[in-house]
Amino acid sequence: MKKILTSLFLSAAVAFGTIPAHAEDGDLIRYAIWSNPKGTFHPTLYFTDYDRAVIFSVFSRLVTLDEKQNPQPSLAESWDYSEDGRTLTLHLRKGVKWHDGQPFTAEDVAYTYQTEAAPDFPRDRSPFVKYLEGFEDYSAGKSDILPGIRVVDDVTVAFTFKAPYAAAFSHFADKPVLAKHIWDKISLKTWNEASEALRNPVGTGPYKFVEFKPDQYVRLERNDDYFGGQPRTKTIIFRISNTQTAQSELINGELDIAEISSWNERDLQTYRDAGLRIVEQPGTSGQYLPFDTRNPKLSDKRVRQAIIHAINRQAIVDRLLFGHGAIFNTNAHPDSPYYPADLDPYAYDPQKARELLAEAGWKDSDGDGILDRDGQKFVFTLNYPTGNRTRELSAPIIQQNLKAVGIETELVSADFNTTLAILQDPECSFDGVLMGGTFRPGIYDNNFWWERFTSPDLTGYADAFNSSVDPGVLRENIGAWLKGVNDEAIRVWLYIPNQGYVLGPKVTDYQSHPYEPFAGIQNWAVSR
Amino acid sequence: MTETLSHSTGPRAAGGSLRRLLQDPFFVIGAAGLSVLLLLTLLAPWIAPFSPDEGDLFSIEAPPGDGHLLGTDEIGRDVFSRLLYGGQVSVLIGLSAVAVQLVIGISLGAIAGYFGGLADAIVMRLTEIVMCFPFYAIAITLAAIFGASVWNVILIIGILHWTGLARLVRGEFLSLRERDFVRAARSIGVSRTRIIFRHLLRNASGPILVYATLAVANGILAEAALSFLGLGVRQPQASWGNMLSAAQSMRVLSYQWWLWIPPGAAIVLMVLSINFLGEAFQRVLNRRPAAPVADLVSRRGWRARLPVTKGSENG
Amino acid sequence: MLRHLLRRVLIAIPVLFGISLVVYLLVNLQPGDPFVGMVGPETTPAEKAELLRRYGYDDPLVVQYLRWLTRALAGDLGYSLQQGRPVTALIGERLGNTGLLAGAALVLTLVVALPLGLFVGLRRNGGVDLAVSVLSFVLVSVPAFFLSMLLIKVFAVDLRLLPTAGVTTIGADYHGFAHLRDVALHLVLPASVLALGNIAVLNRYLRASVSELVDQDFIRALFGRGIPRRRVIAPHLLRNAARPLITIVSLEIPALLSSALLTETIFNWPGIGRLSFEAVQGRDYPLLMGIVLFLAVVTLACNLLADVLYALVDPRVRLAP
Repeated sequence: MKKILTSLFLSAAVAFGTIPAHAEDGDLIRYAIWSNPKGTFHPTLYFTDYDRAVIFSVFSRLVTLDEKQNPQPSLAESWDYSEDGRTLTLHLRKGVKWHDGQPFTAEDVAYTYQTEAAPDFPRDRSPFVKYLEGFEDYSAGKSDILPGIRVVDDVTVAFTFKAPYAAAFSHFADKPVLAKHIWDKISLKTWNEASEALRNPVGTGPYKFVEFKPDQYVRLERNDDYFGGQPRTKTIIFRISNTQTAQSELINGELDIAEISSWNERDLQTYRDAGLRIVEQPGTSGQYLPFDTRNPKLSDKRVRQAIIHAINRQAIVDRLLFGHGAIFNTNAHPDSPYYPADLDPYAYDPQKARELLAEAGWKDSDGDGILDRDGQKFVFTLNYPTGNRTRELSAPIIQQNLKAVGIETELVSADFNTTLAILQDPECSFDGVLMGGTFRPGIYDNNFWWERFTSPDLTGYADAFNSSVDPGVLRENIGAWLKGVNDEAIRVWLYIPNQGYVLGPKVTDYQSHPYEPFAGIQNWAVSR
Repeated sequence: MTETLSHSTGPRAAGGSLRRLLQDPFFVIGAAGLSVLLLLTLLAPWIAPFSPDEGDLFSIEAPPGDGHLLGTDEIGRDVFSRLLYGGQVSVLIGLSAVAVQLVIGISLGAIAGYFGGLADAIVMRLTEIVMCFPFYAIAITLAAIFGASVWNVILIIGILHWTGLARLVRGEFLSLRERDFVRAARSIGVSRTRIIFRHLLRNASGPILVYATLAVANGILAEAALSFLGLGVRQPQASWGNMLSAAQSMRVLSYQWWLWIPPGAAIVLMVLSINFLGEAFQRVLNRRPAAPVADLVSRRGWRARLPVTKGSENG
Repeated sequence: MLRHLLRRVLIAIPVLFGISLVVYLLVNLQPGDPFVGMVGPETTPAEKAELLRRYGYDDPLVVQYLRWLTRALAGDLGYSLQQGRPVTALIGERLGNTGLLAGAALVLTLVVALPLGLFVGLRRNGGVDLAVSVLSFVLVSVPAFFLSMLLIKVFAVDLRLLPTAGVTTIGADYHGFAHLRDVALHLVLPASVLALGNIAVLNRYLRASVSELVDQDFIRALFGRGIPRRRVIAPHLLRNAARPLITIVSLEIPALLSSALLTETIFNWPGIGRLSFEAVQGRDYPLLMGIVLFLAVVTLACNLLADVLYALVDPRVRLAP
């Protein structure tokens, strides 16, 4: 059968000649993305990583993040705080032009963030705008002016917050500046539906948008007038691929750069054998297992801590990620400057887990190997979404680990949004859910509604660090907050897979760093 | 030609059918293959060397050897044991999904074909509605509503695949109900249920058996396709479909044959055996020399015969 | 004939209505809502509820359905909230690709199955017949996704004869003939996967059809006069083959469209199937409704077309009530 098929396809291939070599690439880099962008190429409306990749290449931001996650000048050349720390004044770069030739000014900056606070803004609001002076009245339509944002002159813009707000830079690094002269013409209410403007973004970034072929690719051409210098590669194409075929496409030269989706040594060796290079960086997204802390089974902190002790997280990192990952123990990346050194590490310790469970009243009174309390067996339902192979495989491992301490686990898988809906519905009661998320440097969000959890202590720390820009105050309160979160064990912090990229043999001068995958895009090049 | 059908219900003809079946190479090969596979999966609790769900993280993706006849999977579970137990699940899904289809398809088809008129119109519209559903899109939606589990997979496949059977039964009934032996039965006052079950259904049993056989094969393939989309049988339970979904990775296809060849071969052999049986039943029980083509135009039931053997929708 | 057509079209209306009602219910019964994947983790339940209210997703289901229905009757399938584009435009921009794939699969099916069916029908029970029969059975017994992965491995990865996925070589900027060749090469694998199963089925029907013909007395008589078998068979075959062909083709189009989801996903083929996958997963209600309705119309239209063609091919066929 194989022979017949082979000859069938051989003849087809001969009829059309062999496949084109990739010799004519020259000035082109093809970068794999895993899913179709939604075509929402808009700095404050986008919601997928794939749209984000395009937006971050086409638009510029006020600041970018360096490798230590500190803000670096970009559209904003410098900044200073008022004496009370509440007003942040940004001094903008002069002479920057939008891709359509219009000048970039402070009006654009003010417009970008003011519309986020406007009553008709068609999306959920970012925490940033809620800290702006006068946000409530403005967003409710009671006032026409937002005193929190003020254009001083063409190249100066001032933000005033209700209290000093350190996380402002994280917002600036996440939401680029959009062109007022384009979006002002479109009613804010209908931004979601403005497909012409959404699909033809005009930015100030290193690359100009050329075309979006849905489900195929997004093509960008270099912006010769880019303020950061002329980009070296003429064309960047974001190619919509999938993790199943990307490996063959990389090896066949149909792709130049792709994220690594499996750290299996075999896969890495396959790349190396084909002359491809591998770049490895610390990961930027964590996998975790939030608990429903209102759930009577889990409302006791000791039970939650016991479950963390029971799960062999190191084994998951070693075996499923082949050692290419890290463990974390609170709601922040271990590389965060505020990550406390004295967190409870919740080492893998089934004995300790059993003790904690016993303290909380869970004992195996009928000798069937499953713990019970007041006649009820400890059955734990673990919901998890499909689509991430490592995460899917971690579920049966967790099940086995929990069984070893006497907890019977039921695994329930579903598509991503079905699983996410459990967390988002405050009426819904659950046991645990496997979920993942990207860390956002500089943002420490005192919001645990997925876990149905609040704590006055934690809120106190959060209020303190959200109303100060003093490094000492920040260090103390964020540290205490992270430690408090760690102690409450509101979720199992499972693992952080390393971030990796595979580069084609001709790609040179590739650079990027965690959180800024396109940091050096203007320097990326291909040898001919 | 339906004459042969009513004859075939007699004891003598039944014996003849069996003899003809036993002489049919398709039947012999299919039955042999099926028996071997079924025996292996049924004996799983005694043959399987390991627990199918328990993994050893320190021996993952191990090639065959060291007690693991077919190596271990990505989290160190014994592939051979999973293959045996997975077969039970796949067969269960294939058979039960057909049972669901039989229940819905025969009752609706019988109502439409026997009573005709308004009942027929309603049933046929309902059938058309379900036939117009794009299988995967609706299956994914149903999976989100019901959740992934063996029984829900069965339900999903059953709910979306009964239409062919309903049309088949309706077609058979339409042609049979005006035949002399049915008229005679009616005239001597035989009850409606008795006519439906004793006369009509029995005479339509040949085509139904053929259809149902092929539908089992389709059910197994549909489970595999749903598993590929991540919506099949939930972990840690094994099914051939969710084992084969490991074949999504080129690494597995290139270097780890023990992860995809066993479940792949098992599915293909199982489905092939069942299709062979279906072919043999078709030849022997239906005995219509050029049945497919003749049926295509003889009545609107033509649609029923086609989709079962079609490869395009079976994933 | 015309009356029959009109009748069938009228019958299609309740069917379409039923489909829209059932699918609307199913879509809304799924856990989650259109904003589930669009809001960040810091968005509170109250804020999300406000968004749902603003877009009318908190109205009773009946109200939402009637609103959708009224618009749909006026030809407006609504907006995809997530993609910021009218549903009709989203379907439109992918329709060509799916049409191309389905069309290529159909052509491939016919080109291979017709001669093969004739050949094995004339040489029944020979070695070739047996081989083709067994191969046909194997082809319908292999899960399509598995076959796809195997073909990719053999032809794209190992032999490097064909591209892995997509419609064109990205960034190559071919024009004219080079572009056509490029697209054709990308079509080979996905179209083959779709076609192989159908070839197997159609081939079996044709074989049966030819066998039946050969056994007919008047054909035997013609054979007896020494006229070449092929010359005798061909005209009759064409007429007899027309019926299964119409069936296969009219059934195949809807089946190809609905089963394209898997093939398109594996081969990154930017068509309706992938779009529907995206719509289900993203809870993009208006988009999914639009696609389902569109596919339903295509399916019903194909059924109708088949009926009409039967009547044209063979006037003896009474059109079904």
